[in-house]
Amino acid sequence: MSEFGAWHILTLGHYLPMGSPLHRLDPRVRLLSVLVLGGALMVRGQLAVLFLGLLLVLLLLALARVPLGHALRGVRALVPLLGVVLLLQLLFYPHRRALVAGSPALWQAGRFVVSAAGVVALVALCLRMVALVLLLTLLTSIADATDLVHAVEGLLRPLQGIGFPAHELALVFVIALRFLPLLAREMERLMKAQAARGADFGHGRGYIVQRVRRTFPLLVPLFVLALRRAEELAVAMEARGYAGGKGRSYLVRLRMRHADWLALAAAVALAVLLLWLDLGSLEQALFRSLG
Amino acid sequence: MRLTVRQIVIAGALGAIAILLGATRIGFIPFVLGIAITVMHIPAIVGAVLEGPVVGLIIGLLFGLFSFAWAFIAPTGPGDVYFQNPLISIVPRLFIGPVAYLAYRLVREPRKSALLLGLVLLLAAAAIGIAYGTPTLAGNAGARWVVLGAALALAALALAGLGLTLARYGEIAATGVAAVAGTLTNTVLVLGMIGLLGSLGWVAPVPWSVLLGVGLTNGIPEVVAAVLITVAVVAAWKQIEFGRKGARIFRGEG
Repeated sequence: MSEFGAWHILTLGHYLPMGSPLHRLDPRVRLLSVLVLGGALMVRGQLAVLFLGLLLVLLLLALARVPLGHALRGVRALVPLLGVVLLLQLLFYPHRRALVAGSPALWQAGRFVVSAAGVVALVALCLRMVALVLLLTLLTSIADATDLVHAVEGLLRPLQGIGFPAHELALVFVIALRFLPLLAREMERLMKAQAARGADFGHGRGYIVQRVRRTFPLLVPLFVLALRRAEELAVAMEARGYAGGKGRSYLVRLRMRHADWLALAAAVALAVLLLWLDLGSLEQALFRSLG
Repeated sequence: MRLTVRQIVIAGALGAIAILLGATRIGFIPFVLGIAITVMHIPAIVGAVLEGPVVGLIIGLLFGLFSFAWAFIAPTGPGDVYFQNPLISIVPRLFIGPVAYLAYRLVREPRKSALLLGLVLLLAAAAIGIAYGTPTLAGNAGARWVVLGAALALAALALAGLGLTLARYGEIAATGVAAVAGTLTNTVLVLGMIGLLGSLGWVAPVPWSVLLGVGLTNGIPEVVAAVLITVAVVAAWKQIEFGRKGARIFRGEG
């Protein structure tokens, strides 16, 4: 049954109304800051830089007064996946090319060789995954669905002038976000129900048609359920007079204050720092000590 | 481009399914020799068939954004490096829905199909033009085969559409053709983009013959899977909808 647990990754925390300085920022600043920092972490591959990035994310979590246990729950759900990723990366990393490039070999058994560069890259990959998941947890902890829809819409609004449906697209994103845990729960229920009837999803043998047919008991109800829920939601929204973005007025008007500009500038500065920092010499020193 | 409430909500719900299938890896059906075929693009096709090309495009965008982010968060193989480029992970996915919708309408509405048929043939002609007109492809037989294969697939699709239109097949045939078109769009555009960017030196180059091999070993089972699942889903949903016809209030929105 352990295979049914993989999607706890999807429920990456939930909103925590801690009233911290981060919670009080403009939602656009909250989203944009997380995006620029996440982008910087995605691009970098150096171990030391990613470690600094992880420290920075932990600092932000502390600043947002998010309990460490809450933040680590998302990481804990990631552990099985992390194991699979590590194994695959260890197998597929171009170790021989790294050896040619001057990295010492850590372990050798016949034709199979593990290079120090490969291990360092793996650890960096883990650090990046953990940092990104923690960053995502931070975002969901300091911004609820309403904040996010305001943020996405506010950021896309400049494009509305050229006919871009900013409000609609923001709504699609938020609905997808809202449907994810809901559908994940339904999927878990469907899988258990089908497993109780002896279903086996995609494991058995057979030609492609048979393999695909084996997913029917799961996929068809999942689609139909999502569509039915969507239709109910659409009817409910229309019944409450929802009429789209045009001519819409807002209860909360977003206005950037000095603190918001300051926070945004700090986030951009930190992201630029993460992008420009070159700690490659540390990695070389690590290789030397390993070799 | 005004979206109805219904279209917005369905785009969100089906986009969530695409993400869910990817994140739980249920969207990958294991096939022979460790090859896993994907069904993650199917929500985009279903959305296009049920609610039109814009909904299909938005679901494709969500799918692309997810696959872009996932290539960083949890890369599971050497191929994921390519998906860290948004030109490969996002742009091709935008076309899944619109192309699937085009194919669907081609079969579904005989009167307008002549125009759409013309469009598809134009597309095929353009592909042949690219195959022989692009300088980087001129000396590369493998590359030309890939582009020609895509062009021929499109032309075959157009012919199949024409045949089915003449035979007055219904909804199911149209959905099946849409699934074939949407899946081929995904496979051909993603692999084509990898090849193109590789030959430009933007990403690590992959020989066109390898891409052709991947296209065949993954593309064909993916087409089969997409047709089966899309038809099953659309048939199941339309039946439910037919059953509830009397109770529906917002016919105008549908």
